[in-house]
Amino acid sequence: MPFLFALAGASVNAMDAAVSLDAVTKRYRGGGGVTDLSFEVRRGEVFGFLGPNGAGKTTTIRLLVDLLRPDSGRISLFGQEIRAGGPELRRRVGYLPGDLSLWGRLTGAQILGHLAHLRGGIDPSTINELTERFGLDVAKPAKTLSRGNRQKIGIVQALMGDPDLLILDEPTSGLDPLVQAEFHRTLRRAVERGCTVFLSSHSLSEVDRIADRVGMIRDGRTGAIEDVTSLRTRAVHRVAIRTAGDFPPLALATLDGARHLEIDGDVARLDLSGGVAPLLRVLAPLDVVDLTIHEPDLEDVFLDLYRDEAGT
Amino acid sequence: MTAGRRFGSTPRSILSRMLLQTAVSRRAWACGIGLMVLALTALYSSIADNQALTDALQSYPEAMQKLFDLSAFTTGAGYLRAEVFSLTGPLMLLIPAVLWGAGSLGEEESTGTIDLLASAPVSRRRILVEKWGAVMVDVGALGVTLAFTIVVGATAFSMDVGVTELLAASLATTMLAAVFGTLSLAVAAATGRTGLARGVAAGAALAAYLVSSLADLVDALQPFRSLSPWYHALGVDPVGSGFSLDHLAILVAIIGALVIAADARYSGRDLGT
Repeated sequence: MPFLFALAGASVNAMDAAVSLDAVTKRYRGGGGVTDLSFEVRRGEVFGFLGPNGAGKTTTIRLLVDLLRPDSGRISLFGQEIRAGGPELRRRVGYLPGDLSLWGRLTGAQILGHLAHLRGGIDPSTINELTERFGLDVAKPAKTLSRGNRQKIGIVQALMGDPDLLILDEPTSGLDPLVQAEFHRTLRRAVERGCTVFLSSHSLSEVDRIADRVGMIRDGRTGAIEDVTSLRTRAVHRVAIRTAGDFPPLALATLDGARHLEIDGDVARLDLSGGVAPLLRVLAPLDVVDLTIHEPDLEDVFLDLYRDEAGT
Repeated sequence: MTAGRRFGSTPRSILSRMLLQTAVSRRAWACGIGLMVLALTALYSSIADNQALTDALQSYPEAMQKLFDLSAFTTGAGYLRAEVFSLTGPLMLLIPAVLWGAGSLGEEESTGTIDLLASAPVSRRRILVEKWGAVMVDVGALGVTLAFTIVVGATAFSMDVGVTELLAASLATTMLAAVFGTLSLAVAAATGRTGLARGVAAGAALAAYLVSSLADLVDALQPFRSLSPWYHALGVDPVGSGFSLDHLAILVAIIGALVIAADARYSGRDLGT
């Protein structure tokens, strides 16, 4: 049925993007903001939005939920312009603000219940299931909670409406590693039932763990948009190795992707791109006392990509 | 713990959340108003028909007598006009109204809770109207307190003022507070700045008071008197002449215009920047 296929193809193309920004500019009077931002997030993908602090991530996200109004350009969710979509369009979105503030005198239960009512009512069992999964005590006033527990309230309220799109601004900040893992499991479950995730982070390793594609923003402009796998291979890790005796000078000679190798007695330092697996193979026969691998510096990764984009 | 209990006291709307959040200050101001009214009315019995005081007051300069409505201070109506409905009573409603009006919108922006609220599937208009509604309920609760205690006090201390007049004066005072509470909310809606909103509303209330009360003394102010909400509320002497629907309608119109203007600005603005 070629005709039907053609039709289906057309509708998928037109409606493909869960998030679409077209030449969006938002400048603040005191400086900062975003300039001529264009990118798309496909339906059903986990899109990591990476950039150094102050690069415009939160501005972009607050534009997406209509808290800020762009100076120019067009923002659409699921093919619908956000102002035109209004509250009905936002009903499909779960949003976790970056610097989360809660109504301090209300308890977690009151906050979640209130937001559930504003969404037109949510089955309390859904909320209970989420609060239990994250081990959240909802009986205490929000102002008495730790940062991590407040963040859990933020996560639960974003997830509780079974949204089609999750917009999460630095979601795991303040969470301990176990809760982060639970959060990532929950995100994967949401993606399995068709949810699109747009998440900002300044941590490459977090995005690496859960995102399919990554967009980079720096100084309010988007740089490259990459698959996570290709990003990973290009990311540069700083590595330091200490051996029991003097470091064998030629041990790393055959290692691909090693740069800036310095050997100083029993310590070797280098920059490594292309993943750490080959390094570990090379190190296996050596008597390694200590090994430190620093997370790739985002700025460096970005600059690398940006130089490539510019064609230099 | 059952779901019903856990979510039992949950505010179902923005309006009900606002009333929950202002509950403590609402009760405090209501107690203050009640105590003030009862104290002032109780004091009346000690000066009622006191000829010496009447003589003393009549020796005051005429301007001062007019400014503070001292002409009939030793009668029930005159006493209430001067002691309760010239400045003290209006202030006891105006101050909380201005604080609530600015705070209800401004504090969500300064603390950052606006992100959760305005990203929810509710329109900006609904946020504004529910918040305004909450301020009106709060101010109304204070108005009811004022009306109730003044009727009780005036009756208990035989002030010989009609209930209709007392209710009219209480309503006028409440409407006056509603005007400046709405102005305060409107400035916060337009700018997101709590302090600015409180300052503008307090300054406007002071100006309105001065224009209304000085217009009797300063001829140059006479043409501006009808611009003052204070004049339309208390300048037309509800304690003496009861309800004045024309003037109340003007106050309602001012409130309506302020809400419409606030809505226009609030709907098109960046929030929480």
